[in-house]
Amino acid sequence: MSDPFVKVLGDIDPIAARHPSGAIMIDGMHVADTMTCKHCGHTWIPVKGSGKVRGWCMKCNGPTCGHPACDECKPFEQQLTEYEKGVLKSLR
Amino acid sequence: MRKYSGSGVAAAGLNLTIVQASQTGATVRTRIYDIIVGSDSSPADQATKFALQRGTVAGTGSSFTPVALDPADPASLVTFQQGTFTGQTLTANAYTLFFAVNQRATFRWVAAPDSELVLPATTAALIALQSLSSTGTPNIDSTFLWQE
Repeated sequence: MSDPFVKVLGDIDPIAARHPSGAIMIDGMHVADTMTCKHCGHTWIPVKGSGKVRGWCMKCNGPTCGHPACDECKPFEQQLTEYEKGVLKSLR
Repeated sequence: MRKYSGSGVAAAGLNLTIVQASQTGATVRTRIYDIIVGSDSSPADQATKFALQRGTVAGTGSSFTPVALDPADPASLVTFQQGTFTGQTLTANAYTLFFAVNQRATFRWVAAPDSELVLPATTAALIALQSLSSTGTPNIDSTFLWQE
């Protein structure tokens, strides 16, 4: 696959996401996609060879950030609701 | 869905808040969908590492009155502040996005629909743009766009 991004990130080699949660632009040029964890809302740039192990939630049908707390399916919307009710003490 | 804009400027440095958006009430969730970061200092090669971090106590900074993108909309339910903060409580390790930018560059992150950074409907819940570290102290200008 040809590289879809403008190369301004040096040695970093971002991967085009099939379903990106966002886009990063530097000086108006699209340089990377972002993905968002379905369980905690953390956003990251998928980078080839980063060594980061991410996950995929079959129930939410979306990526997870790889943090152990996000391995169990607990959708972000549910966490927000619990946080607003005081059940959950903090958001990641 | 109402949309608003807030802008601010502060010097980069070690663990400094540039701008923050915080909830004034517990009625609606705020969704930040666009973040722009640049510098108005004289061009120089300084690099700054940023993070968007959650917090629970807004503290006190210099206020900026959010601007409604549709002039017919009422005032925003978000308090937008910039500059030097006191009494602010950020949540450890609750980073929603990391990025590093050269001072000469203008950075922009745009969320896809339903992938915005969400502030819970809790009073004083906040997301702050933090300068985690920097090779200099350039002015950092930032704009948040959000919907309520």
